[in-house]
Amino acid sequence: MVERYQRRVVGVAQAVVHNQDDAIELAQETFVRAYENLAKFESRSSFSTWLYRIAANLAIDFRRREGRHLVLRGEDAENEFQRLPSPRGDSFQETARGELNRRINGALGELTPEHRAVILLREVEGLSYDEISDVLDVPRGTVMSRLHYARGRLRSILKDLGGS
Amino acid sequence: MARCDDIKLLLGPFEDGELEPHEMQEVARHVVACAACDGELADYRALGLAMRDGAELPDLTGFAAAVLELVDDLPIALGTRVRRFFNSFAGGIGGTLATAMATAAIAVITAVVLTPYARQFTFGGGFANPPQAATRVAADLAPAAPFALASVAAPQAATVASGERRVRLPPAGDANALPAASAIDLASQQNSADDAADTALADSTAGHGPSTVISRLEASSPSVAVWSEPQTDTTVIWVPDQQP
Repeated sequence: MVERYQRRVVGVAQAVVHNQDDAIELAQETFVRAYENLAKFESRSSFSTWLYRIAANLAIDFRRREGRHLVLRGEDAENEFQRLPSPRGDSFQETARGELNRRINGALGELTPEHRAVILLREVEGLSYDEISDVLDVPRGTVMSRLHYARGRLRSILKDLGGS
Repeated sequence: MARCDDIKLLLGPFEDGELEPHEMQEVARHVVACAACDGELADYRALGLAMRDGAELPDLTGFAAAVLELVDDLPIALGTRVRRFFNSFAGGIGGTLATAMATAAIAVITAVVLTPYARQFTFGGGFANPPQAATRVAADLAPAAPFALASVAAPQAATVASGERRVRLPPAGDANALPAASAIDLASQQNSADDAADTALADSTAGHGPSTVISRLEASSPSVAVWSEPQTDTTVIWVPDQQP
């Protein structure tokens, strides 16, 4: 079971805390919690969604406790993304993958943790809107509005910093 | 054609395939005809691809082993330990216990069912003595309904003797108040156990005066009894009241 879900669970935790090492620790804690509370699992949602919800809750608690989430504001954000190209066009394609990843991660850091979590769960982990709603315990409409805002914000940041 | 402001709200869900079919059609028709919305949709698509491509796959070597180690280190609750202890014996003790209980239940049922027959065979000479059984039934029915006591003088020959029986009743003044089933003890003279009971009954009724000793008792049906009383040279026919 662990091997089947470990990558997704780490991904969910990472979507919230935005740090891989912390996400791995939280994912391990997630499986332990799931083992301890297996008897409480009700079949109202799928097992995977239940597992992801545990991971998300642990990650949210961790983020509140540690205050480690990265939010770049003002000049820091501009310095971070000043060379970021437009997501469309040749310059975007020519950018080295490592550099692109760094910039995208930086742009994600510009988002609030709630918006970042939603767009990562959707784009990277491939969760449906209903699954995101269950995992983060927010209404589906909230998921849609957060996604709309996050996409627009990322698009705006990437375009502005691209200088196009 | 739908306005761009309305369609822009649906571009993300359209890209994600989360719209209703009619909304998907509406957005698709609009995007074909609107370059701005088509460009924004392409941006969303490129952004998603870049995020997926850029996602760093974590190194999960040893992850499962670490989780199992954490699970092994968990303190086990007392209730869980007790449950596991009994579960470990569930196969052996449970099966044995079930078999033993089933055997005991069968033995009890068998004893309950066979005891009257065993007693009859032991003390009453088996099933070849039906009058005794019939008389016992008559005596047992006595308290259930009022009986009229008819006392007639009759020759001894009128009494039918199928066996020497003895019944002790309360004094004649209490005759209409019929004795309880336990107060009429019909027994053959060969039955020493019932003799003992008769003696006890005689003792218990001694305070009411001299007992009536009936030397013969005959019953051909559970609701009628006939007996002779040698002291008064009377034959008694005991029948229940007839219901109108």
